[in-house]
Amino acid sequence: MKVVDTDISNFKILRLGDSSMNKGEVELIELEECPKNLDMIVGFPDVGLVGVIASSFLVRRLEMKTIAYMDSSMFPPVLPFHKSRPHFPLRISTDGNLVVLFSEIAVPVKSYGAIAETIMEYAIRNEAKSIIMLGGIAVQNRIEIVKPSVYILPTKEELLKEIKLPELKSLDEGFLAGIYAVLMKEMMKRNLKGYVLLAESHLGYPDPGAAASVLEVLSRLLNLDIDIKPLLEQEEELRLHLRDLMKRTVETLRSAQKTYEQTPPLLYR
Amino acid sequence: MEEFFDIIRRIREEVRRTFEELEEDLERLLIRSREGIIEPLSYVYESPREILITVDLPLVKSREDIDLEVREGKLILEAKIAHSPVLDVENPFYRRCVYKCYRKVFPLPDDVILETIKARFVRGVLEIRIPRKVRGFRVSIE
Repeated sequence: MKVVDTDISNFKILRLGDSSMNKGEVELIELEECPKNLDMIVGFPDVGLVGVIASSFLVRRLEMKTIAYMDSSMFPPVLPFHKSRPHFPLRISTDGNLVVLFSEIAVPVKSYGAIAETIMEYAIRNEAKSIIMLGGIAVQNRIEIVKPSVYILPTKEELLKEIKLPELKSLDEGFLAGIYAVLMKEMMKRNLKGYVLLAESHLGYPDPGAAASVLEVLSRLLNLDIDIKPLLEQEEELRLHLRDLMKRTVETLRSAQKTYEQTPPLLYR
Repeated sequence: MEEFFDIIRRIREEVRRTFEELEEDLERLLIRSREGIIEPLSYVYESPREILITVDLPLVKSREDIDLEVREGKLILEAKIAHSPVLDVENPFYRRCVYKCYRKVFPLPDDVILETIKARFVRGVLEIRIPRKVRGFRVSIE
């Protein structure tokens, strides 16, 4: 499988964000124009690394091209490299039909607000059809579950009527915590359409099985042709390989008050 | 003035300690990688009645490949990895590293009942339940 990634050691910047980047800001570095009116998929390291496994699989499987990066002085001082090419850890890719944003580092909680602002600005400017966040929801009995169920939480109630998939369950009561909570709030403020898809997952173990469930639902919702077999075949290898990212993500989740998701909501509202 | 030197001394001490810790971490990681031993991800949940330990053991084929032993107040886990992962990743740190087994030692508190420890291995996750001696007594409520 070929990955069409832009070589940043030799890239031409189309648009550079505020180059006098101050503490507390996120810079958007655009290499190419983003196609307009597409669905935008978002995957951040979170519960079971579901979002990042699913979205990075999409990028690879659909042979997407990197079109933008995000950077901030708040991010850890790391630079991933793939096939001898350096990359920014947070990048946006597209195949012309779908836009995928994913991060291969656990971003610090203090940067959530600035990341959300930057994503909103990017989505509005490129007239994103919807913003779909992929993730996991921790369940105690995950080892007993063969095929994890997928839950949906939309920004607008009417979306639930539009989306009619019998296997998709709605999240009725509770709390959403972490970066997706911040993103959802920003989307609601701006009246943007979108939803979070959360698969039942291990909390602190990488869960490619949950990522496969999320991708299955996503492909039905967006009529995508994605073969998730390779993801399931590499499940155990991925779990071993993503151990360190999982460890770092769990540390971040602690400060993101992720345990809120296990808190029962108010009875009377 | 003395206060100023105290602050400088404290900062130097903190920097020295941080570097020592970093060195230890890297050294441990390198030795373990050379031997092909890796520490699995694990969680320990404690309740007054039991200790529940879960360990993620991908690429361990079956329960026969897992050794679980209680020795000197510790629970020692070793599990054979069926094959080293083949992912298209080229990282100098991992290039010569062949994963052979997982190893993890869990210190046990004094109040556990060792004879009735139960373990099960489901879909690559090991779950160990260690009952605790119930201390105290029930108070009846009138």
